Order: sequence, then structure tokens, then C-alpha cells
Amino acid sequence: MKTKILTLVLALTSTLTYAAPSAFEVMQAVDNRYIGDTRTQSGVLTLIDKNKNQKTRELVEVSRKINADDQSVTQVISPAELTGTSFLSYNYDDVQSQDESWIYLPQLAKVKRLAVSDRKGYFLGSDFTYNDLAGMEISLFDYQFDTKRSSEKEWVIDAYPSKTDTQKAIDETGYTRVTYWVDKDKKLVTKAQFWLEDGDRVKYFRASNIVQKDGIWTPLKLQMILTRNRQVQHSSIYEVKIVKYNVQVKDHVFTTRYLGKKIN
Amino acid sequence: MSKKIVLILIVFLAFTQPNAEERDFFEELEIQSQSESRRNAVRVFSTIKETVSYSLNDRKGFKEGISQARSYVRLGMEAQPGPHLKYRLSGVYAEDLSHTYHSDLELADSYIDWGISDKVWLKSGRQTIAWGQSDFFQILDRANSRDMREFGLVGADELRIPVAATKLSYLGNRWGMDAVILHEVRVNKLASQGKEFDFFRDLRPALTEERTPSDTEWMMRLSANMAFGDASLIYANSFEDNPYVAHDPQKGNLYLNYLKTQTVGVSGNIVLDRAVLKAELAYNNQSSLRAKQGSISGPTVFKPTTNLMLGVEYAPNSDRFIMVEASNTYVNNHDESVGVSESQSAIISSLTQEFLRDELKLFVSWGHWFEEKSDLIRIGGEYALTDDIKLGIDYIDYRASDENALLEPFKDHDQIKTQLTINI
Repeated sequence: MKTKILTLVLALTSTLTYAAPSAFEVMQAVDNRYIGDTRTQSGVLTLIDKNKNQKTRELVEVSRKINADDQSVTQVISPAELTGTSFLSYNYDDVQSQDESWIYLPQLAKVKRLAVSDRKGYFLGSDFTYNDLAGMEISLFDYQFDTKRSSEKEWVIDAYPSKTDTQKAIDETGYTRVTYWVDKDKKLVTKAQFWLEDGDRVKYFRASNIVQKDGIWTPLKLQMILTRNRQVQHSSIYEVKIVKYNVQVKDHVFTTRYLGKKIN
Repeated sequence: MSKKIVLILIVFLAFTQPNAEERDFFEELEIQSQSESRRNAVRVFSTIKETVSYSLNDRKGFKEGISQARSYVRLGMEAQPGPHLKYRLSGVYAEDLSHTYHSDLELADSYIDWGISDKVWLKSGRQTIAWGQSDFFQILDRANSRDMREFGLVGADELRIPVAATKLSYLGNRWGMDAVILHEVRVNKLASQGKEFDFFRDLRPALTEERTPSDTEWMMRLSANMAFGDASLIYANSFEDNPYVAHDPQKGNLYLNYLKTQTVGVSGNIVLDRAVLKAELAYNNQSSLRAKQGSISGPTVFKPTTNLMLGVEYAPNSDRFIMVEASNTYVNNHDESVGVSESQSAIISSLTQEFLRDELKLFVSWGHWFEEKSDLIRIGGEYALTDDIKLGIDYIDYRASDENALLEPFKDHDQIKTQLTINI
């Protein structure tokens, strides 16, 4: 009898394991992909306007996971006017809990509490919104495979604002539709196309130079191109220069009183 | 028939061609890769500001025309050789070829910040200690005095005057404690005799002296960060930063002096969606207040006061920022010797809108002093020519409705100010 039960359990498990996942389950797997308990990272954000003029922002970031919650400190290294400006944020997995964030302004030597951020606002003048960088709440959208464009190596998934609360999804993300290209092995979005709520603007995201760092697949180059009526308006490229996972990061780094001091 | 075929072709092309174009936007962009800067090395920084102001009216002793032509240079270096050590050395030189400011040559923020352990830090040297919630009213920010030489127009980066101090801090996860001893007494920089914004212009013939205080100032703070907001409890034993006018019966003259006061208060904020509500409440055991004319106690009386500030910062989106701060000073034990109202209120508000990915910033701000019947209106903008070079222009309007108004001496000082700032 015991053997029969065990066989049944194994059969059920293998059925679940090998059943084709739904588009939502793929996006869940992408969202839950292990990216280390802690991470230190430095990189350069390049902003390119339509006349190809470039501006750069050099950033350092330290982040950690506490259970399902995220804490991070980002410090601006350049340009000179923003040097030392630092952001501390506590992002909670539970949607009922309000995220917390502070900014340190070196010119005023002052830490200021920030209101709940406009997550569809652009980060440091780039084409990446806070949502693009931190990841959107996946339950805001309904997902379906684009079977014609999917291949052996990647899923192509169309995301539409959830039918249960369409306006909320648009209000919180600024997107009316998104198409993701997901690498099946790496569980990583390699490309995405975002249709913006205002006007004829579409954004194109690409992750490249994907390497394994400390056993974690990491794109070292992220780019986002903003177009309007199929004309490039602005582009942003974030190049990761140094990234380390699961290094020891001390608690005090994630406190308001430490803001402005060296984080990495 | 042929028209139908053309139409079908157009529709077909419209639905097939874009895909080919869209894919192009996924092509990898090539840029000249910038290497990471050597963050452990010493960083040298400088700010250069060239300011020219044009006064729009004739006013007491001054004619319409250029009222300020000021060059300002801040030069410094900073290094963080390790996670527990940071040092900084900086100085300022400024020269005004016109008649608003004096020349300045002084040591600015220059300190050593040393982590005795991860959670205990000692910072010693000239520094800025900003504890209050208010950006305008000086209620619980007791360590640093302010540059008030050009009323309402001093930039935020020049407003607070760094002071030599030693600060010992404990960094808890959600709370912290700071104790500060000041090693020098610095008071507000006010326009001096003969300068355009001289507050004591009408007293000048008899006002012949300024006495410099020389007692130790110290302060403490206990602070906490909570999910819904932050809170601090602050105690300060410090001098008022503005002088009071006293009479020396032996010399028969008037002089400026500074009052030592003890302040205890709380400050905090609460986050409500896109808004931060902020407040400060402070009790001063004595404050210097203008005496009623002819009072036997002299030109100044001393009374306990209570200060309250309520404010809101609201960002409806990432490009727009609205700020309102209202303050009230209540004079305890108010009597007929006091020359100001029992309750004095003021409000400051501003709206800032950013355009062109933060390259262009436009703002309007308005300040109103209720009992003093004064207004200050400022409209301006700043354009970033590059990341390091900014061009700013301001129009400022001073209004005072009667001769006792706070801004009555400056009511004709409306001006246009232009500023070129270079950060390297």
C-alpha cells in the first residue's frame, strides 16, 4: 500500500514538473529568480538624447534581501553636482506594507524622508522607470504566450493590464501593454517592448552581455530606447562594471544615519 | 478594382512592415565605455558661481542698476580611504564688486568622520548639522547659523554656515543618538553698515558695537525611523543666531549682543501616499523680542517662546514638487513691554516643475508674514547647459504694506538675479 501511494505521489510530482508552465508561471519564475542574498554593484548610466549628446551618471549600489523584502542604498559618484547624493529604500513584498525611502542631500547635509515614490517616474533622467529597475508587481497584468514568436530557447509573452483592475495597472506602471522575451534556461527577460499610456511612445529594452557571476546569471548591459512615432527620442544604457553577490554587508549600511558615508 | 488592390497592399504593408522596423530598436547600442572612477582616491571638487543682480528701483542710498556682481569659488578635497574613515577639506572665497556682500575667505566644511566601530562614529571639524524638518524656518536647527545678507535670495548650498564641532553618534538600525559640542560660536551673517540689506539701518548712528559671545554650545538628539515616518527629540543649549539690540547706559550707545537660550523640542514627519507631512515644536526658555517703543526695559525684552512649524511636501509626479511650510511663534507671558504680537505667523510655499528630463527647472515661491504685513515673491528657473554648467535667473519682489512691516526697509529692492554655476 505504501509503495502505491509513493508511486502516485511521484507520478503527480513528475506531471507537475514536466507540465508546460502558464505564461503567468513563467513571469513568476522570472520574478522569483534567485539574485543573491546580498549584492554590491557599481556601474555607469549613460543618457543619450536624440542629437546623440551623452551624459553619464556613475552609481554604486548595495542591496540585500531580508526574507522576501528588499533593502538597498544607491549612491551617486558623478556628476560632480550630485556626488554623494544617496537613496535608501526598504521595499516590502507584502503589497499592504508601505515602502520606505529617504534621500541624503550632501549640499544641505540633510536626510529627507521621501513620499511613496512615483514608480512610473524616470530614474535620474534616464528611460528606466523605478518599475523597470525594481520589477513590476506581476499580478497587475494578465499574460499570454505569443506562440508564433516563441522559440525553443525563448518564450515571448504578451502582458495586458489585468481585467480585474485595468486602470490600476496603467496608473501604477504607465504601460498599456508589454511584450517580454524570456530566456528559458536563464529565466531572464532579455528583451521587452513597452507601450506607454501617453501618446505614441514605445520603449524597447534589451539586456546583453549576460554572464554568470557567483553562479547567478547577470546582464552587464541594459539598454532602453524611447521612441515616438517610430523615431528615437532618447536612449539609456546602464553598464555594470563590478558586481558581487552574497558578500558580507553590515546592518548599519542600511540606516538613515549612515547615508552619505562610503557604502562600497 | 485596381484601387481595391492598392488599398489591400497598403493595409498589408502597414501590418507587416512595422515589425521589421520595431526589431531595429532592439539592436545593441555601442557607446564608448566609461571606466569606473577610482573611488578610493582623493576627490577634488570645486564650484564656481558668477552672480549679477539688477535692482529695478531707486531705493534709500542706492540707484536702479547693478546691485551685485559676485564671484564665488568653493574648492575642496574629500577622501574615504576605508569604510570607517572619511575626511574633507574645503574653503570658500567670494568677492562682490558691488554693494550687497562683503568679501569672504574662510574654511568651509572640513572634518574627519571616524567610525570607532560600525555603530559609533565621531565627526570632528567644521560641519553642517541639519536636524530640523523645516527647510526655511530655524526652529530646531540650532547648530549652524545662516547667511542672511541677502534676504530670501541666498542659495541653499550657501545658507547654512558650517561650525567647528565634535559630534558623537550611535547608529541603531531604526534609531540613533547624537551628542554635539560646538567649538566656536558662529552667528548669522547679516548685511553690515552701508550694505543694501542692512536690517539695522535706522539705528546705525547710535549702534556702534557688536559683542561676540564666547560660551560653549551643545546639543543632543534622539531619533527614530518608523514605517509611517520619522521622529526626533532634540535639546540645545545655544545662542540665538540673530542679535538683539541692547543699550549701554555707561557709554550711552546701542550695541548688538547674543542671547544664550535653552531649547527643547520634537520634530517628525508622516508619509501619506505621495505627501510627507512634517512638523517641529520647540520651547525656548527665553527669546529676545523687540520692546515696545519707550519701554523702560530698553530696546529688547526677554520672554519664553514656543515655536511650531507644520508643513507638507507633495510630489504628484516625479517632475512636480509642491512645498508649504507654516510657522507660528507664541510669546509666553506676553505683556505691554513687548513690542511684537503675542502670536506671529508666517507661511512659505513653492511649486517646482522640471522639464526636459530635469534639464530645465522652473519655480515660483511665495512667503507671507502675517503680523509683519510683508510678502516675498520669487519666480525663477534654472537650465542645465551640461551636467556641470547651469544658468539660473530669478525675479524677486518684496512687498510691505505699512511702515512697521518686516520687509519695509527692502520694499524697493525688487531685482532680477542671474547666476552661472560651474561644478567640477
